Amino acid sequence: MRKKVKFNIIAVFCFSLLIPTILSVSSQTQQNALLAIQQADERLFETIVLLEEASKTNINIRDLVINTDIARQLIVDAKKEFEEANYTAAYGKANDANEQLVAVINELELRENKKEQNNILLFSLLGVFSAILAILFIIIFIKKIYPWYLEKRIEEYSKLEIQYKKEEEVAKNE
Amino acid sequence: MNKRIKTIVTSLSKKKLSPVKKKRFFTITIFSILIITIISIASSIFFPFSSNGFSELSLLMYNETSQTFEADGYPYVLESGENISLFFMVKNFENEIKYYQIQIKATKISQNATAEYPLDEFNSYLLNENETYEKILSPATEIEKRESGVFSGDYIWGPISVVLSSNAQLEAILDGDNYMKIVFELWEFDTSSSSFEYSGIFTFLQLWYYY
Repeated sequence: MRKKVKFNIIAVFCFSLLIPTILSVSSQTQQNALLAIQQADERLFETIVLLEEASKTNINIRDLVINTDIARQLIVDAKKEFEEANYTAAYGKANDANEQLVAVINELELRENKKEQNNILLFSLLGVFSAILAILFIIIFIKKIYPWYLEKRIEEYSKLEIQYKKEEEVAKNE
Repeated sequence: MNKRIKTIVTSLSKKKLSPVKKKRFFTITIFSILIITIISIASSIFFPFSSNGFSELSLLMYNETSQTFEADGYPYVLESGENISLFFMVKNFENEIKYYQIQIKATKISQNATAEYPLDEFNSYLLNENETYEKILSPATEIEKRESGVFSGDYIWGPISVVLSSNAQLEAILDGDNYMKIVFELWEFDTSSSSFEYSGIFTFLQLWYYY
């Protein structure tokens, strides 16, 4: 009898310790899931803004849009799981969405940087090319065109004849 | 017009230019071509083409015999306790990515659907409320814009199957009327307000409701 009482006391003590622990773990999971969903939602918004800006330039982002849409669907699923009190599943899906969106943002930044570098390279080449062209033109102008022009001018002037009007005609006119 | 151009060209060719003038003319032409090329390359890189595009929303039915989607053979009767199925499709012909949402609403035939305002909750009933019809779409390329009769691609959402069924709330909105309208409204996510805004694009199906 004493043993039974002792056992009951221990059991009640254990339960009184265990139940709050379980409750607090459950509440913690719920909190974590909620936080992960909120974070994923904010990240989705950020990604859409970045993708909108990128789609106005000539960067190919089709694969990134598909990945973002997959992440969006994961967030929708996470919200459904949360409503059904499956907090662990909701947390997992929201986390997956978060990871996927981070990867999209990083890839987008990488492509934008690459595009920017390509632009710099292209314009540097264009600048150098224009400078070479300008220098070439100046050289050609100084060495060929201008002397040729001077020569032609002299040639043209040499063809000119001075014609004197006869005195009779002048008198007639007067 | 062609005659006029022809006469101008012939008069120019007949006109004899001196070699100096010819050289000058060619130099000016080459330089202007060079400048135009540089400006066009620079503008295409820094100011990419961005004209106003549009979004396309369509309702389709699946033809079992031809095994294709077509804008024909729509249902015209919805019986109480029964359901009907059809498909919707959205195409992004805008020049930027779009985050779309479709809202399906049932209302009386007398209720007007407009491009200015969406149907309000007092005069309509939101069907399939538990379903989320949302999608992020890439814009169509210039080649894709010229395509027709295409039902798949990164710029296309759908065709998405929708099953519409009657219930007590729908009957309450109809309030004894037999003619009804199922309106498909296209909403777009607006990043400035962080919410979906009505795009003004809608399509609807008229049905006879059989109590």
